Amino acid sequence: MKQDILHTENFLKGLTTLTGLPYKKVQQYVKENNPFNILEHPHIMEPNDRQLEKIGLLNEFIASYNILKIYESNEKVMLNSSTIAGQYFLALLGGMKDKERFMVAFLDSGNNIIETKTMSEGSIGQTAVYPREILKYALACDCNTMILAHNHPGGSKNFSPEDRALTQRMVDIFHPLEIKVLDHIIVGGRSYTSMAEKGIIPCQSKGTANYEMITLGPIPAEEKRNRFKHTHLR
Amino acid sequence: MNLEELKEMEYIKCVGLLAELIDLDTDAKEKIHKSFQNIGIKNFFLHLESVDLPTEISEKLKSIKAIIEIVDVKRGRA
Repeated sequence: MKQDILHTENFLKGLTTLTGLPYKKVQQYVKENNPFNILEHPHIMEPNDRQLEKIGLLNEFIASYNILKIYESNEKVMLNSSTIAGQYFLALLGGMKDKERFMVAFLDSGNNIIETKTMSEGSIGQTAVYPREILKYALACDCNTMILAHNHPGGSKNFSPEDRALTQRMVDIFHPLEIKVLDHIIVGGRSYTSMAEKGIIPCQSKGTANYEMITLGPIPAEEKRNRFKHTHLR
Repeated sequence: MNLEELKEMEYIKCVGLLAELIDLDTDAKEKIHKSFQNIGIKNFFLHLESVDLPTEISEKLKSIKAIIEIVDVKRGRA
């Protein structure tokens, strides 16, 4: 119990030193709330821009530290759950606001990463994904399964119709080859959403394989509609 | 990209984040990057005292250590 209090105190002192948040305010909040809320939902502390930026950097650093611990402790990185896959891609794509990057982790039969590749990188506007390229790498590394991931530079974690269509296109190509698409992770800001976790990852082909280029848009249509609605409700 | 390349890419990212977070100069950045490569990030924070860095930077790194320690405890319990 005493050690818990000491840990929390050190955590708060560290947090205030690094971010500039007032110690008394943080201490007051923690009396009745979980201290991790400050990192996960920084706006509850009403930070100024500089403090918010520091909290963001700290969150990014913690994500990177966690992924490095995995790299350092295992020769192979196993992505055997949506949570681990989400954390993994969050570390690789989290906080990326200036560009959109599409990555694929090619896995063996034990869900260990054989190789993780950036398959395309575009501007904030859009990214072109080439299914032929993904097929080429999948066959070259003889993978059994794969996990797709990309970031939304605008910070949205919602799956756009384009994201869903791309996933189905990948399944249409890889299902007949007995290569399973396990998940599609969307990283928005400093969190992620998993298609497998939501139960919307397709597992069967719906059409013939189509190798034409796919364009990913940054803002899900639903979000665009909502933004439009909010503008007019004001 | 193999594991070593991924690890190196992540070390570079981490050093960059540290530089922004605690205002590191080029010398400190290089020293920390070398330490990451030589002993790993986990050992770096475990043996922070043995890394030759200016006191001000060491103190700030201790603050980060306090935060990641409690994050580790939280993850261990989850």
